[in-house]
Amino acid sequence: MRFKIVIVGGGTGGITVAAQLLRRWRALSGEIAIIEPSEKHYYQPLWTLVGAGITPLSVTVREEERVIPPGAVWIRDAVELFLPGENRIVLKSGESIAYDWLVVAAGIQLDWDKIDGIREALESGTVGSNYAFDTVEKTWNALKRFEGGMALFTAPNTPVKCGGAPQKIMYLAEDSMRRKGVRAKATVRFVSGGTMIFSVPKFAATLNRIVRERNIETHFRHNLVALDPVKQEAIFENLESGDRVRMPYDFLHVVPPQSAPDFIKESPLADAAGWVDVDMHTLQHKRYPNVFGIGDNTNLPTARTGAAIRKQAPVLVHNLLAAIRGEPLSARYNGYASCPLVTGYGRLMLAEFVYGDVPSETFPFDQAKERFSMYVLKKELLPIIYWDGMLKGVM
Amino acid sequence: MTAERASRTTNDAPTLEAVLADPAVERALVDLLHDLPEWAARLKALGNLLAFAEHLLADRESLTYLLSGLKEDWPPVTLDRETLAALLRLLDKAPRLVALLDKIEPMVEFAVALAEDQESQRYLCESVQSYVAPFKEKAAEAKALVDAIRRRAQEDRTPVGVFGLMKLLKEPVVQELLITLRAAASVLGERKGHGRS
Repeated sequence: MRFKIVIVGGGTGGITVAAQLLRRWRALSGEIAIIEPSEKHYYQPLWTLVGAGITPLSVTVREEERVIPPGAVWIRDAVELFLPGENRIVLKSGESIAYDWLVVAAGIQLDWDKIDGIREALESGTVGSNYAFDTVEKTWNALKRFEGGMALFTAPNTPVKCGGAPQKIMYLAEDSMRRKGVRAKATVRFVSGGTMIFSVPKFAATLNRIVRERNIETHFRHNLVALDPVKQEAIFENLESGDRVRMPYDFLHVVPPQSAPDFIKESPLADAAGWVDVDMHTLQHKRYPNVFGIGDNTNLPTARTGAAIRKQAPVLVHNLLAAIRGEPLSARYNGYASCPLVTGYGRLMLAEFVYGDVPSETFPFDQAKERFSMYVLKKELLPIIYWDGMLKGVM
Repeated sequence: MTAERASRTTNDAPTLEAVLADPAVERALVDLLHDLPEWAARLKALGNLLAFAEHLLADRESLTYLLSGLKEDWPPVTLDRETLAALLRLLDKAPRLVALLDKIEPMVEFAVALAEDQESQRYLCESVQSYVAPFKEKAAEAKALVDAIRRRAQEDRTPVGVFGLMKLLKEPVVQELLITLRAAASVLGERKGHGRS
């Protein structure tokens, strides 16, 4: 089989790029293949609200078939091997697909097994994670049962999708404890492998104030490495001293370590850290000019969010079409990413920034403040914009 | 006579023999001969097409059928001077119109996608209801309260006597009302005094 353009991944990046390409150049109909093994497509940004019992899980999932844009060919398979020197990929089924142009949009991999005991812990009723479809409802179930004690919220020292999500659920859980009247009996602790609460100083100032005012403990440079679900203990590695630190818990929200998908790490497309090695402005691969990358699987030095992909997609599409015509790549991505930081039920701070952690706000007011309007934007409007705008290639 | 001289005519133009001896010409001839069957087939197809057109033009019945069919299928269009002038003006404005359409099109397509997306519509409706529900509940409570008061007042029409009034004055709700009234009278009095001075 041969296609003019092959897109690896039918997630946010892959579908958005395919839809925009087909809108811009109708002649590509039947010439674009999307390689995606999953039958389901998830709108993951709402999982934060699902984990807090605000939104039902069912509204975050649709059949993959329904989001494949008309004119694209969906190949239900996974990539086994990239052969960029031969302009070819090999699928798990053994089939080989040749291409003229390749777009890599395979997302990020959750490395659950880097935490010993996580599988058992997730079945214990006190542990949840908003990072997977199968585990997000466990967060709310555990939170409902929580009547006081230690509530732990972890974040790994690896890059993660939506860097704000580990603390969003913490603010919501803390708010939920207040509403339930158990906050006085609870200790809320954020234990992160990182070095700070948020990388953009303007928004970090608000979060540090919230943490202080709501009496939330923070421990940085501590990476979750194991869980003992019987003793209800979390074991962290102190990244400064190398010591193991045990912390008991009565509720635990886990963010798994994350990395580039293995089939990318092991391919010639990867940089030293395993991510697709693209130019940070044009999104073209640094060594293979007929390869482009988008989203979480790339080494773009910005936050891995759907909002970032929304700004990357038109740049990639413009530059890919220019490359096909033999023209210079003139579109440039400025590193825009957005993180709607939910800080409680009905409160949200919309952080928007570009490369260099420079704020880049859309609205004509100070976005470093928590607002109800921004909460409504995230909860009600962004899902609609996603399904009917972004995935249709019009926004 | 040398070979070179023999290959030239009196007015110094190259002879056929010399032209044929040119390797480039020879190659081109071979290529042409190679493609000759294909060219012959194409010429034959062209000939057939021309013959068909010739027959069609001569066949008035078929022509009338074709033109009447087109007239029925196409919308009624009057191609006069005015229409053509408008078409030219439209072409002149095409770049600006296309730029405008490019801006509007995504919004229209988004609206169409949303109109067809029942799941998103349901999600939006449920969200709106969840915001409105507490207000509706409060409004219903207030209405029920007013209705109960009105009903009680209609049922009990006995006049309020002095003792009844004194008992009523001890009710916390009445006290609250009277205190509010006293405060209001005091504030309004002060304001009035300010206005005069």
